Amino acid sequence: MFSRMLGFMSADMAIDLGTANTLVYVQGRGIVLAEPSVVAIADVRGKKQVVAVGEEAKQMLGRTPGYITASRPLRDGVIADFEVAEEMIKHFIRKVHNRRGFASPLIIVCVPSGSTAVERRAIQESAESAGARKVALIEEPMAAAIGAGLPVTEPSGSMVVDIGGGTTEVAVISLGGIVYSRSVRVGGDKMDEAIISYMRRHHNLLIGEPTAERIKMDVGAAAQSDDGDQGPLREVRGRDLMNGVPREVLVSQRQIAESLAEPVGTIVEAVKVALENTPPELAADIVDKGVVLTGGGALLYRLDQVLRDATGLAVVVAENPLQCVALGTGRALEERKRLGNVLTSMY
Amino acid sequence: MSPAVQPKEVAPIAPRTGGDLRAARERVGWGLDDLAHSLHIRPSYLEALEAGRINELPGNAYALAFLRSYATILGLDPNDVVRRFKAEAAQVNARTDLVFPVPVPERAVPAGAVVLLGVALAVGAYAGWYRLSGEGQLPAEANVQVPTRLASLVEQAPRTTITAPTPAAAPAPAAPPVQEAEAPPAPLISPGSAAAAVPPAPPDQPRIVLRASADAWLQVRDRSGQVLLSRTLHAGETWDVPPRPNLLLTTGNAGGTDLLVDGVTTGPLGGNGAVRRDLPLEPDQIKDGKLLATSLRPSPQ
Repeated sequence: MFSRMLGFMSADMAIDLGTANTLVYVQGRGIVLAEPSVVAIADVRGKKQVVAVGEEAKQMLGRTPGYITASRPLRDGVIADFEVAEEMIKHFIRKVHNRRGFASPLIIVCVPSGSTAVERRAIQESAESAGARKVALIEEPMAAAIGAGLPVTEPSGSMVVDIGGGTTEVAVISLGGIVYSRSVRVGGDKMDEAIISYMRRHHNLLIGEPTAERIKMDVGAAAQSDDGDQGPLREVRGRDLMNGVPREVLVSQRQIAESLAEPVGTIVEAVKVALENTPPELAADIVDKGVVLTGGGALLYRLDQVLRDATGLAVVVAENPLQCVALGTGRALEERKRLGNVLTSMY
Repeated sequence: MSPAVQPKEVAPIAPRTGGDLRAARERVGWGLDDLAHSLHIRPSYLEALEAGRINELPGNAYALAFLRSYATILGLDPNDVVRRFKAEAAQVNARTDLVFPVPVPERAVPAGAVVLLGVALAVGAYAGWYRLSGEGQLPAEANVQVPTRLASLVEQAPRTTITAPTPAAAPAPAAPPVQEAEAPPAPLISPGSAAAAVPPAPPDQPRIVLRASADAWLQVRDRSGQVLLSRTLHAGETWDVPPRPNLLLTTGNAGGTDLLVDGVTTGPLGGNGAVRRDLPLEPDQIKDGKLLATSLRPSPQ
């Protein structure tokens, strides 16, 4: 009763707790916050204090002095550092809620479909200790499909590929439920790592994660162009491994595409395995309608083309791929009476 | 343009953007099949897109995504094409309606209806019982309240109770009922003493009045079983017996009940707390003292 009264005064929210970005959807207001999932923590005389969260903390990533650690509390779509994740969620709730003392919202958080019960429990508990009145979980591919506007409740198969920061989720959905899902721990982060190791191997240049991410967004591509052209060029700055001095090299889109071949190949493989495991009737529907890409990874240049050539299916990118999961989770929040059966809870 | 021209087909919803796409494709020199081959989108969907018949596409989300792919491969700005398409066809902005399959409820009758029916039955049963069991009481009380015929007798009744014992030379007016109760055989019906004071009531008026000298549960019914009175009369309360033949009286406290026949008291019908059943309420028999005599025989105490 009391918690219901508290809930009346607070705005319920849906959180897409992603490895790379966290999006918060508030009931009746839409997406109100989209920030990188980064927290900077200072160690002041043995006591840990949050210095910055989100965009500000991301600027600090890899540039911190000894007493500050900027870290990403999520890895591979699940919580790696429980306390930091809790601080981050608490910060976002406070930022969205101006009345801080009374805030006790219902929170819907999405979890990767391949996450274990322990990982789900960690997400639920961190949201609870961050001040939630009640926590419900939704599987990411379902949220992505709802957010992309796919007719998930129809008796017809829809295939969604959500390429996030930490995981890639491939799922076949029909009649409001997941028929088959596969989650591989490859996403934007693995692409960044691939770029870092490529630069080290081919250019003897050490670069940080933010730089790698910037290159990927700028000139990243899933495949080299057919006509052998180098594509746009970018300067990359880092530290030379041979003589230890900072240096700048020029890389082409073709080179980046080459470096990304491995993570892209893993994603293609995951989609193919999912297609192999799809029941034939649903496979027929997918041939008809195609595959929808969501998540930040869907923005990688020519990724849809690569998947199209590999599968022979109509692979298309959803509208607002970065926001699909948050929008779908938000819709589950808004219509939780009707969409209640896509929500789960660990208790 | 008008529906009459294309009677079989649904009117196109976004023909202009689709026409632009077709023009752009033809400028490049690609056929629909070339495009379908490279995008792996079925040619019929691309054709529907060009003609603006978005109802033929598998869904709004797919329509916009196909459009985006189409625009991208032609080198057009996909965002611009999608924006124009949306401006033309407002219905693609509609959210996909999600209706989850709900299991059919196992019971045919919903629980709410059953509960409602049960409550209605219970109320009906109670109302019926109340009506049937209270039926005898209602006319009896109505009789008491009829003032025109019975008012005189109702007024007489208390008066006679006071006047009747006085000839028996009781010193205190309040004492006589007690004395009478202690000496049951003494106040035999003596027609001479009170009959003069109160003239005999006309035959159609009640001749018998029940009077309670102590709290007593009384029931009056006729031989057919119709109940005229069934309640507790408190001390001093009286009840006029309607002038009907074949009435039977049952009392739960014979010692606290006495009868006034034409204003003459019979005295208590039995010992205190004794139960007497089915006493015939015939004025003449009571006057003769038959009732009292029968009353004394089965007295338990």
